[in-house]
Amino acid sequence: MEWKPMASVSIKHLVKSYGSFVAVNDLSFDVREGEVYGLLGPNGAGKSTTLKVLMGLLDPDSGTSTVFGMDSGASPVEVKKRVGYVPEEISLYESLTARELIDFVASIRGLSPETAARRASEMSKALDFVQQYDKTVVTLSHGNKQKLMLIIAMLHAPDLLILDEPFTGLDVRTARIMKDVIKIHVEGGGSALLSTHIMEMAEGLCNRVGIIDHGVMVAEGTLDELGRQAQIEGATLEKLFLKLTGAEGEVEEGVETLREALGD
Amino acid sequence: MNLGKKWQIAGAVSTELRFQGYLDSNPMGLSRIKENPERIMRQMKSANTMSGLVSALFISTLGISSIAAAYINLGSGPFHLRMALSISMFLGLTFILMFFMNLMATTGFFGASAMRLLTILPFSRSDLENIILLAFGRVFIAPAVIINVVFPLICFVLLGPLIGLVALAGCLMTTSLSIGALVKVSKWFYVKSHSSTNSKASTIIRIAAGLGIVVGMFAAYSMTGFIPTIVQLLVQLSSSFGEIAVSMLAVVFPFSLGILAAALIPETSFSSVTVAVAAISSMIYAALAYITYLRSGKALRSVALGGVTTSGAEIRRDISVDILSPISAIIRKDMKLATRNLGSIMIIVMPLLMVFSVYPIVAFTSEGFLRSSSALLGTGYITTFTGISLIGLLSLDSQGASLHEGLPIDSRMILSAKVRVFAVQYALAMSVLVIWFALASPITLLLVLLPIIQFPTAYAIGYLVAATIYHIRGGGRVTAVNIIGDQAIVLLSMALTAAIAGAPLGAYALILLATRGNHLMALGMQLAVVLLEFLFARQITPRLLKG
Repeated sequence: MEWKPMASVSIKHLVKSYGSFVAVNDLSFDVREGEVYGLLGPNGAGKSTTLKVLMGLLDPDSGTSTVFGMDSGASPVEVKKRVGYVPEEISLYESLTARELIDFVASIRGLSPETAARRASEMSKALDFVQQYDKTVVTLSHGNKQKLMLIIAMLHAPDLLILDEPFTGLDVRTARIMKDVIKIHVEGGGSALLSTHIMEMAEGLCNRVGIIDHGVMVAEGTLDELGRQAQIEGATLEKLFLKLTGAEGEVEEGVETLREALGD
Repeated sequence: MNLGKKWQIAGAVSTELRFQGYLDSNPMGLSRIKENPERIMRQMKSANTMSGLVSALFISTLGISSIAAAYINLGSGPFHLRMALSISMFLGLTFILMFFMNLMATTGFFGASAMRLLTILPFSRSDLENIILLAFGRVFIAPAVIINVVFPLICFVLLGPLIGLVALAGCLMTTSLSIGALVKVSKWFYVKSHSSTNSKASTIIRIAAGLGIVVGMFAAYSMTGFIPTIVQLLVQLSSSFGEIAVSMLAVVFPFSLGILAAALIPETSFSSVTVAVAAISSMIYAALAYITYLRSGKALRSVALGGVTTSGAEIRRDISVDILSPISAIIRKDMKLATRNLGSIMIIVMPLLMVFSVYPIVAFTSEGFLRSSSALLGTGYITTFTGISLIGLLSLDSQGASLHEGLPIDSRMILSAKVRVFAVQYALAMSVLVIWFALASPITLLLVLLPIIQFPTAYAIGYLVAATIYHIRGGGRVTAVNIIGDQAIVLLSMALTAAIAGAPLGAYALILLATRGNHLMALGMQLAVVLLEFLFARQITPRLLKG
């Protein structure tokens, strides 16, 4: 009998609507232990909604979402104890310093001062954040805020990282560090679920990807498996994505319109 | 670029600055702005209009009551001395009003973000500097025009053109000096409140500055009613110490200007020394006002070049983590947030301010002693308004959504932290009331127990009001509330607070009436209702919360 690793995340027939708009429609997928799973999709595809349901921040209309076997809706606090979450929009206490925020988070998570200080110190060094440690959040750049969020999310050494668009707006160096942090986390036995529309990142980082469009899972698997589904051997993830979401024509049309607009 | 174009652009910048100042003073607006931006914009515009009208009304009232004070106090001191002091009072209070009424708006100037868009557009450095100066001018133009028109006009009509002219010069100088002080203090407050230093001293400075500003604001608004008394007091002082006292007063701003103006009234009997001192001092203050005008411009120009730096040369400290219990950590975080902007400080000290506003009810009873009805009224009034303070505490969470989304905090834990802070505010307010009741000659000392027995109501108010808000606005989850934008919730919380806090007071009043003045029984019933509410809150709160 084939051994199957346990699922860190399991989403079954998830449906979530906002009024008459169906954001997620009968979505199902698993994230296995020790893998990086990428949730890909165009803007408004339902990626963030799915992650918010998973964190117990939104109630699904139907379907289930579990993290390490725990129901997200029923036990959000227990789920959050094992998860490090970085949301898409970063909203921190702007008038506090990074130090004060980390003090706050470590206290809430009940970490020992030594463990918290060691992790905060090592991650700050690794992410080149030491200089920013005593600055107020409002003065930090987007990239530094993203780094701070990552330090906060990993302070308790979570089993699962859930990152919503973690690479948006980052410079090359920070994006690379972020990518390596995720790899180290997974090499250490953790799992990661990330949503992104940066195809190069997903291609270089994810063991498996799920492509969703209009709240529906269009395709799922490794890069090779997706290539077979789209009947394009050896194609890049970007090409597969456009083909599977049916956006190839739209892209060409958009580029043509832009060319005409800029040609005036 | 011509002045008209710059004026137009400055209009857009000043709107943005007002907007940012509005958000800064109402932290909960920051996250809510995305939900309904038009509504927030409308509220900001109406708040600005209201603020302009209130300014106009205040300054006009101040002008009229100052001049009236000189005519009313017929029995004390010569007319020219009363007039000199009245004009001085107007100038002095205008200085304070201009300062406090515009402090929040001015603080917004020192964040560079309002000018950020302009810096990427093809404007020269000098254009940018002029635009920020004009933008500042646009914010202050209404109160400045009112000050410099209304009062000189009153003086012109009542006392003649020459005195009107001196009054105009005095008003211009006062405007310049108050704007100068405003720029300096708001820049300092911005730096202090956004500074990253974490020492206890800087926290104390921040709280003290905030408290001083809030109490100052409150005092400035209450001051207009006391003008005749203050003028009377100054007249008596000057009369007692003779001409030398007046000459010494003539050195001090704004008395030098007041005395100079009054010296122009026909048949005045100021000595030539006093007049000379007033004239020389006035010239020195005029020079000072001009220098202040230039310096304010310079300080504002620095905004155009990238705002104010708040970090300075920092000594990097070791990375250590200061751990507290989760509830204490939430309280510590809330206190740090609350002391870093004026709007939040106002929220924290609101119950205490309410106590001070209730002082006349307690202190000025016609019989000379405190009756149960006044004690009930005072206690009820304060407790009703404490509901706003509670929402203020909930509003502090509007910024840290990213943290709360990922942290294992349940609603009850956050609620417990908020209720503890609220309980301290409530207990402090009630304690001050206890002292006042004791000092106001109560008809029975048992009246002092009225606010003491109310202490535990803080638990029921805190849990029931906050849990109801979480239930209505967040489906039981923790939610931030916008005091300015969500009037329905503010009214609901005030009504709930009034009902919860009013029930024991109502029970007290009913038993007192039914037993024809048995205070012990009435207090016993009050205590019973307080305990019932406590138990009720314990039962109901978990049902209203989720997660």
